[in-house]
Amino acid sequence: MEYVKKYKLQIILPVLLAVVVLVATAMSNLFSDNSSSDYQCSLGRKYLNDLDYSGAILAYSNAIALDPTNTEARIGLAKAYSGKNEPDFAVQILTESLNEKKMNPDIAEALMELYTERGDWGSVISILDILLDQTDDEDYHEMLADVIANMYARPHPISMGSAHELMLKDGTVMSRGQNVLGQLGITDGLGDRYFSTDTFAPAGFSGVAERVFCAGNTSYVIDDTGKLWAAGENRWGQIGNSYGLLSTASGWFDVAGGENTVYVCGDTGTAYVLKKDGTLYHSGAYSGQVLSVCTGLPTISRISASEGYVYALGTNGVLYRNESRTPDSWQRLTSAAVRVTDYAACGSVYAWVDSDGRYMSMGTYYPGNWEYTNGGYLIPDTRIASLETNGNMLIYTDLNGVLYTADGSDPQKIEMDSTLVNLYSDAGNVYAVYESGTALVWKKYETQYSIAAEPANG
Amino acid sequence: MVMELLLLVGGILLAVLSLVFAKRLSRAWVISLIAAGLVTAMIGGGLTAEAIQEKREDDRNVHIALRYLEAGQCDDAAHYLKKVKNDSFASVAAEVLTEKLRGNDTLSKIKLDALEGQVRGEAQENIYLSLNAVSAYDYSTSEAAITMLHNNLDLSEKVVHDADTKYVTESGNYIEGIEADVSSLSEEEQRLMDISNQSRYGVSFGAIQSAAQLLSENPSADNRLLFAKLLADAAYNGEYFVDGGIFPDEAANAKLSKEHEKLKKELAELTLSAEGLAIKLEASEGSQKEKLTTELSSLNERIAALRNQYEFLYLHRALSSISDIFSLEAAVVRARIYFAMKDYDKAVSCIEKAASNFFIRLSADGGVKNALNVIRKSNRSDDTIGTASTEFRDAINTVISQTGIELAGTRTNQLTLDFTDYLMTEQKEYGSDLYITSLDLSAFPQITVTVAGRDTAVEELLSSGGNTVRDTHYDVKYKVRAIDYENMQMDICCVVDQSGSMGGAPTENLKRALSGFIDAINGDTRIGIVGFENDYEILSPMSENHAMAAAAVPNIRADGGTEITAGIEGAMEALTGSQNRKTILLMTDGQSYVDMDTVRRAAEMGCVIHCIGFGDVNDEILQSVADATGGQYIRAETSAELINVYLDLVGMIGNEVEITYSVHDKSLDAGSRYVFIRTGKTGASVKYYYALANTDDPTVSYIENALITDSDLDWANQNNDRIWMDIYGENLADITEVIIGNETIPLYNGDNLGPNVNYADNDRISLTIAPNLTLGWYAVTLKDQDGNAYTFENMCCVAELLNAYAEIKFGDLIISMNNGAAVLPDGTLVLENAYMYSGELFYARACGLLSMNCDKAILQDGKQNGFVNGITIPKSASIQGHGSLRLDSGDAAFNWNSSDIIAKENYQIVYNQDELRVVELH
Repeated sequence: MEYVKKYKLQIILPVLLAVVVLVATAMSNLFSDNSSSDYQCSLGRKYLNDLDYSGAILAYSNAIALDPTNTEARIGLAKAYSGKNEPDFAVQILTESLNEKKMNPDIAEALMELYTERGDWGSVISILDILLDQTDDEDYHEMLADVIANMYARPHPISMGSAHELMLKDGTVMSRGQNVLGQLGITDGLGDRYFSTDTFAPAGFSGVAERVFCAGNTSYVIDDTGKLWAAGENRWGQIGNSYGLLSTASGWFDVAGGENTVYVCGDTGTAYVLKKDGTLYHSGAYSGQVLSVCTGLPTISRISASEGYVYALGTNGVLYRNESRTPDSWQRLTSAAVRVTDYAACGSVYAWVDSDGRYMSMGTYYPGNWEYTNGGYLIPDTRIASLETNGNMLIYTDLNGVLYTADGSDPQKIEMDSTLVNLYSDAGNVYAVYESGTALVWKKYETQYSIAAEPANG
Repeated sequence: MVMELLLLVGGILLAVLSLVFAKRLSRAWVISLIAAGLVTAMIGGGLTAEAIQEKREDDRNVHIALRYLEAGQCDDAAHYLKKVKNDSFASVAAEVLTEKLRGNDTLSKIKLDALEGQVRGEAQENIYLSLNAVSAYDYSTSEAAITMLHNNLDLSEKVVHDADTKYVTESGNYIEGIEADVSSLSEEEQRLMDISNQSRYGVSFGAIQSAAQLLSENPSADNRLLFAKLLADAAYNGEYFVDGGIFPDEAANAKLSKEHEKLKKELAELTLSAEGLAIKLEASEGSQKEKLTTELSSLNERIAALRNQYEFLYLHRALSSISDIFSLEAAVVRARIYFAMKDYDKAVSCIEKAASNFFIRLSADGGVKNALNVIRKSNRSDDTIGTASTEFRDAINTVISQTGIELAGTRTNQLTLDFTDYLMTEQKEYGSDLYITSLDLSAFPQITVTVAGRDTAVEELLSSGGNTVRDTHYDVKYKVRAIDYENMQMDICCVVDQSGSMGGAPTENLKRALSGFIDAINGDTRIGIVGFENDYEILSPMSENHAMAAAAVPNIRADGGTEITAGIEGAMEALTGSQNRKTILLMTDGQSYVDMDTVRRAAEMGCVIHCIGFGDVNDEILQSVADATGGQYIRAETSAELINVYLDLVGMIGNEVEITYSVHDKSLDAGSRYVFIRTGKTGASVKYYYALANTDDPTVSYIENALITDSDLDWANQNNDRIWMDIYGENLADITEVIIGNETIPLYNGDNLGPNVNYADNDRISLTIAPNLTLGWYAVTLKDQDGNAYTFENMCCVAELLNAYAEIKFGDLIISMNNGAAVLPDGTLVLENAYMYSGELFYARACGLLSMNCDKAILQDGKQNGFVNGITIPKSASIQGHGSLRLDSGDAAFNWNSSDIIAKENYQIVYNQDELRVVELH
C-alpha cells in the first residue's frame, strides 16, 4: 500500500492514458459514424460550402442510402448537381422523391427554385397548384399570382387582328391596317371600308404600354399598371363597359374591371381576359357586356384563341377548350391524371406536353425523329419548355431557349444572334421575340417565317 | 486508419523516448512512461490491425461482388457490396457497375459522379472512363471495367484464391483453376450446401426434404427457421405437399395428410351450407332477411378461415414450430409465411413490429440496423419521401432477407421480390383520401357538400376539431353529419378486363387482388364479378355468399378484345333490380371507346363507378366515367399494385358525410369559386371548383310571330283557330309547359307532343296559343319537368295593327317598319323583325320585337296616312328590344365564324352623346 501511495502518479498515468485513448476512440467513432445518415449530411453540407460537388454527391448519396427518407440529403444532392451545372438531373432527383399526394414543402420549394432558374413556369405552377390543393394557404395563392405575373412579364410586342396589326416599338403603340371600326386607335380612315395603311404609325395610346393584343377588329393594350385598354370594334360589348358600341369611334377606352390583366385573347366579338390571380374573365358574344368570370374553371395560367376555339390551361394541369363559345361551358381535353405544363393550339388542332416531358399530338405536326410510346405519347428528343403551332408547323423551345420548328421531318433549329425572350401565338400566328427586338412571325398555316417589317421592341 | 497508426507510432515513440531520457528521469517514471507508451501502442496496434482486417475484408467482399457481376448476378453482387464497411474507390466503382447493370440509371450516375472526386492516378482514371462507357444492362461493355477493378484491388494471390473458392462453393459457378472446396465443411455445413444448391436449381421438394433431415438431426432455432422459410418459399410458388410427405418420419407425414383430408371435408360441408343459406336469403324479407344475413356473414368468415387452414396447413404448422423463437430472423420468417398465405396485413405487421422493437434493433448489425430504422421511420411518418426509391427497396430487401442461415441459393427468390414490391407499394396510398361526390347549391349562400373517401379521413371529419372548411379563400363555420345508410345494404360489382393483353402476370395479380378484396370486404355486402372482353359475362352474380365470388376468381381468363362499355352494361345487368347502394369497380389495362350514354344510365341507376387503370389505358375516358358517376379514377403503374389498390378501395367504399355551411359574405362576389376541406390530423384534403350559374338553364333568343295584332286575333276567333308561335332558344329539351297569359300549354301528352304543339326540341318550340289575349305585353314562362319556372318578360305583345312601311329615324340609325308594326293603347310603337342600319357600316335585324314611344300626333298621322313623313325619335329617347339583336352580313364587323347576336332578351338602343349603343338589361 505504501508503495502504491508513493508511486500513485506513475501508476495512474498509463491507466489514465489507456482510458483516455479508449474513450477518445469511442467518441470519435460516435461522432464520425459513417453509418449515420445525419453525419453524412453534415459532411455533405461541408463539401457544398467548399464547392466540392463530387464530395457532396458522395456524402449525400451515402446519407440517402442509409436513410432514403432523409429530405435534407435529397435536397443537398440536388443542390450539388445544380452546382455542377446539371439542373435537369437535380430536378430529376427531387421529382423522383416527390409524393404528389402529400407534398413535402421543403422538397417542393427546392424544386420550385430549380424550375424558376430554368424558366419552367409550367412546372412551378404545377407544384404550387398541388400545394394549394393540399393546404389552400393564402401565401401560396400570392405566390401563384406572382408566378403568373412573372410569366407574362415577357415581351408581347406584336399582334395581328382580322385586318390590322399592333406593334410596340420603343414603348409606343403603333398600328397599321384597316381602321374602319377604329381598331387602329386613330381617326384616319375611321368608317372607311377601303382605307388601309401598310406603315406602322402611332396609335394614339397615351399611357405606358407593356403588351399589345388583337382580337378580331378590336385592339387591346395592357399598361404598366396592369390596366386594360381597348380600341376599335365593340358591337358585342366585348370591351366590357356595359354596352355595345354601334357607331364607329376612335381612341382608347379604359376597360371597366380591367385591372391586374396579364393576357387577352379572343376572336371577333369575344374577349377573354386573364387576370394576375389566374381568374379568367369573358365578355362579348354569348357572354355579356361586362367582364364576367368564366365560372366552373380552376385557376388558369394560360389562354389562347383562334378560329372560334378558346383554350385555357388550368394550374391543375388540365387543358380546357371552349368550342361553342358559351363561356361557361368548357370541355375538358385532358385528364386530371395527366399534368399538362404547356400546349399549342390553332383552331381545332392542338398538342400538349406534360410534366413527364411527354408530347401528345391531336392533329399537330411533330418531328419525325420523336419516338412513340404505348400510350400514344411521343417522347421528344429534348425537354420542351414552350410550344406553339400555326396549324402547319410545330414551333417550340427547349430549356436552353433554343428555338425549333417541325413539320413532320426532323426538327430545324432556328439560330439567331440574340436570346429568345418569348414565344407566343395570337389567332393562329406564332411569334418568336428576341432580346434585340427582332421578332419572327409564322403566319397561320404558312411554312416559313418572316421578320417583322420593323424590329419590335418590348 | 490514420488515427490508429498515430496511436501506434505515438505509443512506441513514447516508450523509446522514455528509454532515451531514462537517465534524467526517476526509475518509476521511466517504467510508467514505458508502460503508458506500450499501452498506447497496443491499443493503436489493435485498432490498426482491426482497420487493416476491415479493409482486407472489404476488398474481399468487393472481389466476390465483382465475380458475381461477371456471372450476371447483380443482386448477389449487391449483397456483398452491402457488407463493405468503408467506401473505397473500388467499392464505389463496383456499386456504379452494379447499378448500371441493374438498369438503375439515376443511382449509377450519382455514384459515378461521386467516384469522379476519388480518382487518383492514371489507373483509376481509366477505370472511371471505362465505367462511363458501360451502358445499362450491357454486360459485354462491363467486362473491361471488371477486369481493371480486379487489378485495382491489389489483393494477394492467397486472398484471391480463398475468396474465389468461397464464391465457387456457394454459387456453383465456374472459375478456371478453382474447385469448390467442401472438404473443410462439417456434415451440417455440407447439408446446408446441398439445400442451397437444390434451391438454386428450383428443386424445392428436395431442399425441403434435406432441411427436414437437418432438423431431425439438429433441431436448432436456425434450422427450424430455415425449414419454415423453405416451406413458405415453396408454397408461394404454388407447390403443395399434401401427399408428398416431406418429413423423414412417415408417421408425421400420415398424420398431416389425415388432418388435410378432414379439413377438406369440413370445408365442402360448410360451402354447401353457405349456398343453401344464400338461396334462402334471396327469398327472404324483413327481420328474417337480417337474421339470415348475419348468419351467412359469420359462415362466410368461418369458411374463409377454414379455406386458409386447408390451403396452407403446412405453413400453419411451420408458424407453430417457430412460435417460441424471438429474433429478427424469426419475425421475418413469420412475415414470409403470412405473405405466402396471402395474409398481407399480418405479413406487414410482423415486419413493422420487428422494425419498432428496441431489442431487435439493438442486436442488429450496422447495415440491418439502418434498414430497420428506415422502415420504422417510414411507418411513423406520414411523409413518404424516398419510399419509392431504389434505396428504400434495398432497405426492405435487406430486412426481409434476414432469415437466419445465409444460403446463396435462397438469397433472392420470387417471394422475396414480390414481398419487397408489396412493402414498397404498401407505402403508396391509392385513390384520393377525400373526394366530393355532390354539391347542392339550391339554397345558396348555404351549400351542402357530400364528401366520400378513406374511412380514416372521413372519421376525422366527424371528429371534434382541427379540420378546415374553406370556401373561396375564407374559412367557414360548418356542420357535419355522417350519412346513415344503416338500412341499406351495399352491392359491389367487380368488372374485370379479360382481354388478351391481361395475359400472364396481370391476370394472376388481378386474381390475387380480387381474392384479397373479397376476403376483406364486409360480410353483409353483396359481391358479384363480371368479366368483359368483346362482350360481357357474369362470372358470379350478386350475392352475400362471398364464397361464390371467391370460387369464380380462378375462372378469370385473358382472351379477346377490350369493350369497356360491355363491362359496364354487364354490371348494370347484374345490379338490375337492386335497391341497395350500388358500386361498380371497373378495372382495365386497355383503351376503348366508352359510350357515355351507358355511363349516364348507370349513374341514373344510382351506380358509383370507381375506375382502376394500369398499362396502356386512356386516362381521360376512365376519369370521365368516374366523374360522371361520383367515383374515383385510380391509376396503378403496374399490375403488381392491384392488390394494394383493391385493398385501399375497401376502406373507401361506403364512407360519406355531409357538410353544410354558408359562404362568407366577403366571397359572395368572388369569381372562380371553390370549396376546400382538410382534416386536421392526417392532412387529407380535397378542393372542388364549382359554378353558381347554371349553364343548363333554358334561354329564349327570340320568338317568331311575337307580335300578335288585333287582326290576327279576329281572324283566329272567326275561324276557330289558334295563333302559331315559334320560340327559339337553348336548353329547351327539358321544358314540359309553356305559359303565355292565362294559358298553360303542355308540350307532351305521354310520349307524344301535346295537342297544341307542332315541334319541340332543344332549340325550338313551335306551338299555337288561344286567341283570347287582350292588348298589351306578355311574358313567356317555361316550366321544366322538375317544376322550375323560367320567365322571360315582354317577349310577345298584342297590339293594334298598323299598315305602315315607313322608316324610323333615331339619330343616324334608320329602322324599317316593313316586317310588321302595331301600336299599343299607350302609344307605344311595336315592330317585329325590324331591319336597321346606320351609315354604311352598321346593319342589323331585331329578331323579335322593338318598341318605342312615339308622339301621339305622329301615330295618329301614321294610322291615317301610313307615316308618309316618316318617324323621328329624339336621341334622348331609347328603343327597347325584346328578343335578339343580330348583325346582318352587310355589317362591317360581321364574321361568318362569329356569333351574330350582339344583344339578347331585353335590351335598349340608346344614344350617349354621339355614340349609338346597345345595352343589355338584366
